[in-house]
Amino acid sequence: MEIFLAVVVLAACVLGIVFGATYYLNRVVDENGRKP
Amino acid sequence: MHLIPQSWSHLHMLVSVFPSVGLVFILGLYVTALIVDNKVMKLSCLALFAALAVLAVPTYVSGDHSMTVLSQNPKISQDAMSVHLGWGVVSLALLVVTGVAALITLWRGWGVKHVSENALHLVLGLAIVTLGLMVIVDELGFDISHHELQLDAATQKTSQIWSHVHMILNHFPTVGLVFALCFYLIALVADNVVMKRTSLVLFVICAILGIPTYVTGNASMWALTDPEIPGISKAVINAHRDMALVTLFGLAFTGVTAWIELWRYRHLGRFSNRSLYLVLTFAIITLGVMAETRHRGGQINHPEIRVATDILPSDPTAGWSANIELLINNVLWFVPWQTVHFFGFSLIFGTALVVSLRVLGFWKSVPFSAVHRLLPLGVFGVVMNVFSGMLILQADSFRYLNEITFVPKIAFITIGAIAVLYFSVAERLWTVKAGEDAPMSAKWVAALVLISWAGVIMGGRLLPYV
Repeated sequence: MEIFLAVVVLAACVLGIVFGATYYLNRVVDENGRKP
Repeated sequence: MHLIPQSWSHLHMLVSVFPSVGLVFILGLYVTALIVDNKVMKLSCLALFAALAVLAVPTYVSGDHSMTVLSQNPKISQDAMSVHLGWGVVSLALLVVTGVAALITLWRGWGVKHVSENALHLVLGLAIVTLGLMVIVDELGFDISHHELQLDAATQKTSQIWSHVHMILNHFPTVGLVFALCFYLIALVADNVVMKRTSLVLFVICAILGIPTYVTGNASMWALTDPEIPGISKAVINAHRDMALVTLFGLAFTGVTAWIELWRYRHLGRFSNRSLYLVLTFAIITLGVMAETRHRGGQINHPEIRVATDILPSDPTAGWSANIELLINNVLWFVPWQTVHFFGFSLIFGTALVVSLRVLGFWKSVPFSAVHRLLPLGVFGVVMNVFSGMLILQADSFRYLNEITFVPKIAFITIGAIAVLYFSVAERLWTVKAGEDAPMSAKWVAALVLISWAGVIMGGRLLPYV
């Protein structure tokens, strides 16, 4: 049970940061981006 | 620990790596400047060649005085020092000639519209020949005090090739960061976009090279301590490892912020000054930590640079690295980090697959700029896996490092990560619109990216079984 919780909490935290950062970067492009 | 050299040997070790490793980086920048035909960048490189030539003086003087001191040491071969000196004098003389040629070209090119192509090519040729000679000189220099490289391979559990590669490789992210910083500062002052982008690329490359440097350092630890080599202390190595871990994180922060700025520039067409200065801050902090790491590394196998006031660590169980080894061997730590590592692989390979397949000709209705927006997911995946991978490595580094598929795995990570940079710097690829085919050069890079990351996954999965 402890391992299960540890896996879920760590994966959720790390993936949350990764997807959050990616979303933020792409939002900046959406708001200020140019067409190639 | 003293960072300021207090002996000729110490000064020689410190200064002698700059001309050779510096030449690699400046040559890279110079070739880029010639290809993109950027005058400010060409002149900056010429100035850097001239600055390198000045280093020939302290390199020679410190080397000459070191010889006098080391000739009284019975463990040091006089022949090895004489051969190193002979080749060293020739290469330094050629470095000075390169510097003078660069200075003359710089002086003649200043204020005129076009710099002479012949003069630029002459400097290029001289620099390449000098670099070739310096590679020989560096190898001969290693032979003087690194006797572990001559140990009988049959008696070694971990190959001394690791130590040799680590000695070569560690200079690239470290000295490279110094040159990247110099170039970056010139770029910020000159407000030159090409130079800014090139410096950011250099920061990313230094960060990527930090990975094989850290891994080869771990392997060198085993090669130097199991079986034990007289005069080499595990506690001193651990002190170096601790600082190397901090350096790796510093490089990761610098590299990722630099890459994000390259990626954002593609889409926004301008830099954010705040981000540029953030990269500068990370790079300066990392350089400071790195200086201490290098110094601690030098203490491992160079008793000649130690001074009476140095207090070397004596407890091999002290420090962060030794404690991380204990912690990560606990299943409650190992399994979650391994899970994160697998998620990281999924992100990297998924992103690399989509972007590479578009470049190779799939989904032509999607412009390249659209798939380029996915790249941060893959790059953050790389960061996740460098962090989790380094932790997992500590759980059983002797076994991992001596597995046959570990070397190709690390080589593929380095190649694959550097190749991905191409997607954010290539000009022609960026303009590939919906329905258009990517240039052939981009397709080769895309294939390399796919092969590399597939190789990383296979190399990692085969670790326990081959």
